[in-house]
Amino acid sequence: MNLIYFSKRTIFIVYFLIICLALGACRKFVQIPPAPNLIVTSQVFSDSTDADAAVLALYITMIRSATVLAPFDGGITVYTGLSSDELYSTRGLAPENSIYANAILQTNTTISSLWSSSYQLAYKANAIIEGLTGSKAMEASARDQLIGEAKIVRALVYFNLVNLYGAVPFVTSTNYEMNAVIPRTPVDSVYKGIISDLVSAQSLLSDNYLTAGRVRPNSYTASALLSRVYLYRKDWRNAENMASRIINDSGTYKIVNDLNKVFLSSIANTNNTEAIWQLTPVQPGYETTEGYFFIPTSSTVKPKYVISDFLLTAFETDDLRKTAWMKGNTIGGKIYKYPFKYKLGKDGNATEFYMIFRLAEQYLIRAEALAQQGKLEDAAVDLNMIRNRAGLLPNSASTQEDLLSAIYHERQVELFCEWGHRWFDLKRTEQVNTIMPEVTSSKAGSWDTNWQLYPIYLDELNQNHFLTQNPGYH
Amino acid sequence: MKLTTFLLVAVYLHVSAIGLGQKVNISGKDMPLEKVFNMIKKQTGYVFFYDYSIFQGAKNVTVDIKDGGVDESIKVCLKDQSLDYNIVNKTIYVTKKGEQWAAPVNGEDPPTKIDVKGKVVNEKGEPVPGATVKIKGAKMASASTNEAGEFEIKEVESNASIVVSSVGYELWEVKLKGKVALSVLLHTKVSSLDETQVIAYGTTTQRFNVGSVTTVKAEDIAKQPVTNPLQALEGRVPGLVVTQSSGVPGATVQMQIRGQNSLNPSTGGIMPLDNPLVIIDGVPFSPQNSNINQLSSITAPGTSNVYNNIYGGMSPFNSINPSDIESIDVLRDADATAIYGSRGANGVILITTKKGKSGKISINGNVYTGQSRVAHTMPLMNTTQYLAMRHEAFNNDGITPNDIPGDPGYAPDLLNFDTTKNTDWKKYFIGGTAHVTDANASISGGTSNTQFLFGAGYHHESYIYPGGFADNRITMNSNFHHNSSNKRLIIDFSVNYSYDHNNSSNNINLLSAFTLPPDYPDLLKSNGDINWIYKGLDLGDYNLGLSTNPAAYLKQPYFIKTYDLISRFQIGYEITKGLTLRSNLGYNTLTGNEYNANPKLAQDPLSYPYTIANFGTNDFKTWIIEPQMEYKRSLGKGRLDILFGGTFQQNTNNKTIISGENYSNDLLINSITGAGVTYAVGNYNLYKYNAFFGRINYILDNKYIVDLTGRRDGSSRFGPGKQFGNFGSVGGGWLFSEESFIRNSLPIISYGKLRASYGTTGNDNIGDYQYLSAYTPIPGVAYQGSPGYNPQGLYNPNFSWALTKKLEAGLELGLFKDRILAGVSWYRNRSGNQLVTYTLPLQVGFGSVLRNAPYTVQNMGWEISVSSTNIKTGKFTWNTAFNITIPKNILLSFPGLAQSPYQASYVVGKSLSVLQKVRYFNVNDTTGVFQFLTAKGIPTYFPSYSPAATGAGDAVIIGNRDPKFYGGIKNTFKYGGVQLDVFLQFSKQMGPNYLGQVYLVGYPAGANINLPASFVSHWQKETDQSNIQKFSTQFADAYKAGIYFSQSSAAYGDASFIRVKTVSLAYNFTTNYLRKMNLEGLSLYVNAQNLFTITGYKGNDPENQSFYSLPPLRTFVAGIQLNF
Repeated sequence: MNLIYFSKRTIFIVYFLIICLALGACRKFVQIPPAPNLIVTSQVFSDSTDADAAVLALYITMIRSATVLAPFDGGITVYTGLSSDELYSTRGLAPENSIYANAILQTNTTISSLWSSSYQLAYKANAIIEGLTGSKAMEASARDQLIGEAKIVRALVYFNLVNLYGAVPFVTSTNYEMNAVIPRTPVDSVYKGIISDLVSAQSLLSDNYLTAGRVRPNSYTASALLSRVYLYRKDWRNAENMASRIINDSGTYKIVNDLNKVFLSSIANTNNTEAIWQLTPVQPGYETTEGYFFIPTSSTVKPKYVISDFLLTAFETDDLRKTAWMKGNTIGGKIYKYPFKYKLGKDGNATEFYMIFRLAEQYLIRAEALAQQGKLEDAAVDLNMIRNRAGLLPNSASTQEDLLSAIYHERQVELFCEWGHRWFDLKRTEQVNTIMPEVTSSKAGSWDTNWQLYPIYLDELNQNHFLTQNPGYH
Repeated sequence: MKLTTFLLVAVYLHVSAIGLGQKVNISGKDMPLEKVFNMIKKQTGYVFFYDYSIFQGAKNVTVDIKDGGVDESIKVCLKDQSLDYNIVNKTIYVTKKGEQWAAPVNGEDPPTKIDVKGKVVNEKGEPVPGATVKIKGAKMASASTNEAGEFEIKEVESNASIVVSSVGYELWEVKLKGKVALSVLLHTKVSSLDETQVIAYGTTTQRFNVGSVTTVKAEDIAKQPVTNPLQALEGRVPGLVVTQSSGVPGATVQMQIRGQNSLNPSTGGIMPLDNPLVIIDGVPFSPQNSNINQLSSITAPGTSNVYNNIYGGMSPFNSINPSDIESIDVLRDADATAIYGSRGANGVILITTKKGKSGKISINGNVYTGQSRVAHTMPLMNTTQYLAMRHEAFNNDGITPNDIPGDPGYAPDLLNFDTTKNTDWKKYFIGGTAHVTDANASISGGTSNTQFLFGAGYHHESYIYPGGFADNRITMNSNFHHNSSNKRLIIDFSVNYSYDHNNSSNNINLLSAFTLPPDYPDLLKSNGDINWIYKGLDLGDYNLGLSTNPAAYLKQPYFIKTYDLISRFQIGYEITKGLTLRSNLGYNTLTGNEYNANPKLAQDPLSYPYTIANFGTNDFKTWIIEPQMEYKRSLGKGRLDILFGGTFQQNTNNKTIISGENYSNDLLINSITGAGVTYAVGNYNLYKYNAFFGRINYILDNKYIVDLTGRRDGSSRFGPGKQFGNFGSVGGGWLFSEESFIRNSLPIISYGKLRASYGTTGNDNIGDYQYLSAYTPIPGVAYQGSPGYNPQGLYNPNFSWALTKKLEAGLELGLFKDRILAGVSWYRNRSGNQLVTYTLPLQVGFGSVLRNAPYTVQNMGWEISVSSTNIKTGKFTWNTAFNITIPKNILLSFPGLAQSPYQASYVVGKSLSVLQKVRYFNVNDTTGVFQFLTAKGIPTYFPSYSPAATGAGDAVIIGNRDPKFYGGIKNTFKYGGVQLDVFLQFSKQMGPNYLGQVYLVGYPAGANINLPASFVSHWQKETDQSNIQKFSTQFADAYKAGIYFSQSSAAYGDASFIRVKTVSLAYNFTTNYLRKMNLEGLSLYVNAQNLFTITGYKGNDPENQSFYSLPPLRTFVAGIQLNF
């Protein structure tokens, strides 16, 4: 009896203790460590390897899509190519067809990906800039390098956004409460921010490339975008200076004479002196995404994207680029030409890198900037640098107007199907409303000057009350 | 003794049995009888019941008994007396000869005050504690019985009537007529009110439950040939909406209790459901109702709007065998759910599996087999109609069809295909028959102390698609129960295991493949290979809407294997009277192994044939330990039940996907080893939860019930300092039918209860680690050999508990001896400061952040259920059960809505599912293009989607998608051994129709996608009046108008329906026949599910409201059930 009684009491006490413990242990029990796949942010920005990984994520984000057209991985090239007079699609995808027909709706999810992916990338760059600016744990030079790289990425994001959409919210922090209600920032202010980032990056970054090849931005990379930005802003003097800064460093940058070698890897092919900034493909088994989409699997297959007659006829007869940078498949007696700057669709050896900035553009920028300042002879020299490589005779334009239109034309055939140059140039040089009506009507559509800006996705307008749609879209 | 008025005396002493023998030793002369009785009592412990009047005229006794038996001793003592006796158990009843004990005594006695004692026992002789003893006509009960079933009332008028009542027993009534000792035998009542109902940490009955709980029983589940037990709940529980997302086996079943509380994380999609907490045998089901797939398949088509099924996926409940379930209890109000604290805001579903029963070994077998088909789909155009549409469309566009790819006039379906060919692709893809076979067997039995059950089940269900797809499931269940002879120690152990293998196609385009042009060439060559080239045309490349020859979809495999183990161990010990210590230990692990692949043979050899295979593992684990202490005792005239306990719970979810690419040969594609390139992604979540809870339940006089619950919770999902929250509820009930004034004035009311509850519940049903600012490595890729880190998302360290306040009142009535049972509940739930995945514009970098949103949502409604026995004659019975719910959801307040990301989605004062759409006007009879109305009512081709209320748009409120009312009605007819059950489900609601979905696809109606045949009547020429605009192939005016149309009021319509959900006809063989066959039971049955639907809905099916995904199937089965 006693024994039983005692054991009952023991059971009771033990139970009582467990319940008390349950109360007491609560606090500890529900505190959990971060998941094994997470690194706390404060840790990321106090260690140079981790901080470097955060920066590398920017490039991986830009380049990794491989089999999908993401904005920084062929998307801008293809979609603006369809909108303008460069490409048409044989894929039969509704969103693309409506981009081609200049009949984009504000519910077009393909166009909306340009917006959303850009802002995702901007967030990552903002987070790095914020995280590193406050970090005392890292060495100053390493920190400056990474901040500089993030600023270049941010500037590139906004450069594209402002040209695709016009005035866009200029978001430079990670404070989502604040950022969620930012209205459109005027185009001038966005450009001011871009220039400020690039000027800062130019001084933060070293003149040398951080790693093998030209796949991490250096200070010249900042200059390369800066010269383009000044050109778009019609700041001819600065555009000229920035382009000169790069062109004058002839030890590093030189035009590659063989058109077939312009887009090669700057690691495997250290002679690729034309590259200012390239991204190395990261998806195992894949080359560049543009190569994957442009190059058909065999000579009997229609290319997904075909070069339009407008672009084909723009080339001069003897232009070497017609054969080096274009190729055609003949099907049913009809030739379908496709861009062939990248020559590998899917190879897996990463022998081609994705070109973001290259020297030829800097020559054309300087040519235009010089011509605009009336320095026609110097301008012609730069222009002919490019014509020469293409096997063409020097340009003999004698008036500023002729020279400028020669430069515009040279940009069309040199920079075709690269990063939206054609679409942006049409708008920048105010040719869009003279050229596009004919182009659009050939696509069974009709041109409206409003179509030069893409619509902001409907959900974005709904979710940010302060955002307004571009004119012409309902 | 001198007073004859003391007619009765209860000699009723409780004597310890210890040290007593059964033998009687009495020796003496002329002893008064009463003294002899006392001696026997002392020696044996036997109790005497007698009327004092027996001693009048009783002779004194002279005996000499040595080691006599009780019976024989009494017989000796009563020899020569005019008395009778009777021994029942250990009670000896002594009466005058020829009189029944406690029988009325003749003659009126003057009213005198007497003290009455008594003992209340049931048919088994067990004492009934807590029974109410009342003097008839009195307002209050006079006493209630103690643990031994005894009671005493003092100062009762001797001619009063005594009424004894207790839970689950028939009322007992006697006129005292001076008797002072009562022996009361209560008969168990046969009423559904007194059937066991499972509630949190215990059981109760409907009669004494203050909470809002509905039970669906095994017999109702058994009549439905469903794979997923949730499907069996459709229409059966008030307040619960269950929707099958697709007719594809294994597809998710959405469920929601009493409406939506939280905001939609994605304004573009359909409302996500606030899922209730699901607990199986005391163990929280590890995956809850989240999809267990990581890879997409035709069951899980992902976020495509077209399938109207963006939350579709693989249901974890597919791994639970409906036959193993004893009951499903749906807990709705605060009283029932508050004890679940942070997890009960959206209601709780308790699933209880079958247990063994004592008695002889019983073997149960049940087998059925049958077929399923798609019930209703929209007919599509035939080739003639299709070609006419195409030509007309090109004609409208002013384009001559040509065969130049990429050209606006490219039309191989007109120029290259055999235009005399007419294939019904709908029939080809979804016109098939699925076969279903289900077999279950179990064995159970045991003694009164130990019971067991072992069972096994097999379920096979093929797909209606071609391709040999099927879902196969094997389940095993077991339960072992033991209690010690003194019932103090209770052990319960159960293990349920299931294995499910579901294989189908991973290509979601298979769902819409039926819209292929009817003149499309044969998909397969005569040798069975996929036909890639037709007249020089590459069928893998020619595409609109479909990315390849759809035959390839059937050869792109997907499978998921799920392994589900639910085990639970409970041990309880009653240490002293009424005080029980208990522990629940539970463990649930559910693992899904998935695979999908794109082999070379399914790819166009002219494209880049590139093999890919993905191997996914999704592993959910939950363990739970819940020590509890329960104390039950009588207190005053009532019963007190106190429960205290704690919970320790841990959930982990481990996900990995290993991808292999570039296989050299299709033969190797089932292994990761053969891949040329591999990479892996991993994801891990940990959730810990700890709580202390208590419940006090007091039932006074079987009339008044008070329930108090409280819980203090800690959850790892919250940031430091915000991890704890307190929740509680108070509930009360009044069984007014127990009041004598009701009994007397309204005798038709056999049961009546008013109940009310108020309380708070919380919600921590959010992702893990959301408060943490962190980075995560990008899997599978490196930049120059170094990894990259991505921010894991926006983080918010400040979010914390949010409360749902639940108020409920209910009236329950039983009429005509409970032949009609009715219940009405009114509820009002208010959720404020709710934790939500708050939508943000993508310009901030991510689309959402977890935070407390400043709004209040109210779900209010009425739930009515009635069940009745309409006819009950000798052989024939007819029972009806009906339930209806009238819910109303409104956004009560949302400060700052106009500036918030939700400004276009919600309206204060309207439902969360409010539809703000542009009003459709007509087809302009000149241009043939859809027109809409601006906010001001002016026709336009280009309305603005924004709500008119914002000042900028044309969208107005056209309604909402909440059901206005829904419910079900069940009729059961029995005639002899034949039983017919008919269950109808109904819902009045609004939903998207097929017209909007056709235009939503993104191609102009007139492109080379086949359309419903109803499109044949459309606008063709000026002055035509039609509701379908002109056909067009181009991305021009008609295309844009079509997209507007898909977002307009015309894309929505009535989706109300009445569905004959279940019809079950069974024949149960008669006892005579069974005896001959040596069987306990045998029945043959045919069941039909989704037999037919009455609806005005425009589209395939008003339940899943999707034109492109598979509607719920119609199933017929026949089966046999055996029991021996």
